[in-house]
Amino acid sequence: MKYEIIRNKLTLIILLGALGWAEVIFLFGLLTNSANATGLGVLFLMLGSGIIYFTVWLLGLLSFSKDLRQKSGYMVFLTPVNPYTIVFAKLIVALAELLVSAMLMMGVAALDIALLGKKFGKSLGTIRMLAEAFETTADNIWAVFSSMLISGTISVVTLYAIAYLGSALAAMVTRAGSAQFWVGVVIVIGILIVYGILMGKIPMINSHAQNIVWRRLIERIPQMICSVVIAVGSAFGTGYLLDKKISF
Amino acid sequence: MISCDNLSKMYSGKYALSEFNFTFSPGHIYAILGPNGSGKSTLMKSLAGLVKPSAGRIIVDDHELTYLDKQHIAYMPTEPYFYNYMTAKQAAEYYRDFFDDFSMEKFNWFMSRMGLNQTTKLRAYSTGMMAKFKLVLNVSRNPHLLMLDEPLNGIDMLAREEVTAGILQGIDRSAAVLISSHLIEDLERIADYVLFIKEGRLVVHGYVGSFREQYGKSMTDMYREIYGSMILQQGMFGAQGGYGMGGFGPQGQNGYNAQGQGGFGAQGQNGYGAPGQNGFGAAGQNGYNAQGQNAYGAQGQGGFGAQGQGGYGAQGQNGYGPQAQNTYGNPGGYAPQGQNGFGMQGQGGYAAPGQGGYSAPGQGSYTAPKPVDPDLEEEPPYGRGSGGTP
Repeated sequence: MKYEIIRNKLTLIILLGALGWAEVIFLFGLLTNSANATGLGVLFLMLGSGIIYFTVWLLGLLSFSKDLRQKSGYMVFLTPVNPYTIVFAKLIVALAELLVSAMLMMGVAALDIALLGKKFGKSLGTIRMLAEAFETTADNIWAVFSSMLISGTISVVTLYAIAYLGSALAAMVTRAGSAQFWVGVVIVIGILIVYGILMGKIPMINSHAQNIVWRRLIERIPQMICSVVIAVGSAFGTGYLLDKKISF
Repeated sequence: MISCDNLSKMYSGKYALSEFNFTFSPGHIYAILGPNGSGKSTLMKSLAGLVKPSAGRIIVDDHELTYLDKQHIAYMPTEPYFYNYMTAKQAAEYYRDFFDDFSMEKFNWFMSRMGLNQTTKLRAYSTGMMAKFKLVLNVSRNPHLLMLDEPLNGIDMLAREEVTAGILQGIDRSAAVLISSHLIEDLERIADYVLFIKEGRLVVHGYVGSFREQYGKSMTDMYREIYGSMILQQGMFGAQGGYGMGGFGPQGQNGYNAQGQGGFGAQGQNGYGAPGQNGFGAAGQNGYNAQGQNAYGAQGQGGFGAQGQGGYGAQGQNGYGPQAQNTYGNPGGYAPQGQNGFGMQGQGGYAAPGQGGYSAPGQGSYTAPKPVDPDLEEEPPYGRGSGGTP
């Protein structure tokens, strides 16, 4: 796992550096009472956060595909590591990087909102603002975030596992190169379509929980279980193909 | 001990390895020889676990090959295979983390001996430096099976000597070592057992010493005998490697001015002007101005591609010219309808139909120069056609 993190280190450092500059512009605007600089800083922070989150997500998706297509993949596949361990390590690292990025950016956002509130002498009521944004009450906001975290994590892991399986299937049927990448994309899209259809057909649980957020979460338990099963199955399928079928 | 049991690998309907049976025992250095595409790398990658067999199996001691056996198997691929961000030191640390048999002391010693800087990014290394580094990294392990896939590729003569010396110093004599290379003479100095692979099959194998003692043949001689017929069948000048070992440069091995690899007709050793042996085609005998016998057309030995038939003016008689006399290598010579020339259809040579030639049947050849004798009724000796690219 250590080397999975190190591989993307440079890209992440550059992106975090850019985010750092956006924060500097924002703080500069606050300190110098410059509305333009403050506004620019906020804009860059929002854009930058989106770009970083998307990049981390994409790096996680592409990491496995790159190892299958490029000679640097020998560094992984020449080692005496269980192929299933390789797949699960990549999944865990990809997910961890995504969660850490999300938490970091949310932390920066909360700090900046608090600074803005202090600057303008009134409490912006961060929690209240967020509650309004999610059409709920301040009491429910933690339920909302917990629900988002659980369902978001399951979705991301499932997507990664399906992408890895698609890459492995593409590697099995094509030789290394750009063709393998595009064949993988087509396979992944196909699997996602089938996955979407399957999710639509799974019935929901009737829940009588008073809190609407928890009620919605409980209703979707069968779908979440199905997603987890698909994710685990895809990961094991990928490991099997790596162990028995794929040649480099 | 590692054994191949009817090992076969198919890619897109073609066998890269076909019913390969052999046991590699510790304490030997095996030379794996064959032209490009014969299956050498596929064999090594299969033994390294990178390629999964289409049929057959690989047995390590008493069980089939699994990922755990990679702890005792080292494979050095032909190409660089490191992550872009890595320095030499980081690559060594990576190996140390994954392979229990990796020795950092041995690595440091070899790096210093080879004159390589550990803090330089590997992507900044030259071809020669990378060749040395890959070797250092792999011989710094102490595996049961060490495989070096063309370790001498792309490096100059002095560096080759260093690398060869490094191999001999670095390997554990209790290991089984497999080395593939087109530089047969260099390999002959270090290997004690040789395997010749042809079209995915093991055709001949034996101790290097036995070939010499019993048959008076070197590995080079054996190579010519085994693969020589391929040249005539497949055409000269580049089709499958005719023209010596690699033909006129097709797979990057030989050619015109190749460093002693093959080249223009030579049966594997020399190219046009390569030091020592064959020049422009002759199998060891004549070259283009080679001393001794015939330049440009050795006595039936080679010559511009012909396998012993004559080359450019073979048989000492004619060269480049008149017809019916000699030619530029009948059959197989540089072209002709048995007649000659550079580019005519017929037999071989440069652009003969289906035979080889550099650029496809009947297509190509060098652009015709003026005919030698305009009064001749026959076609000029060479040059029909034009263009000719491989």
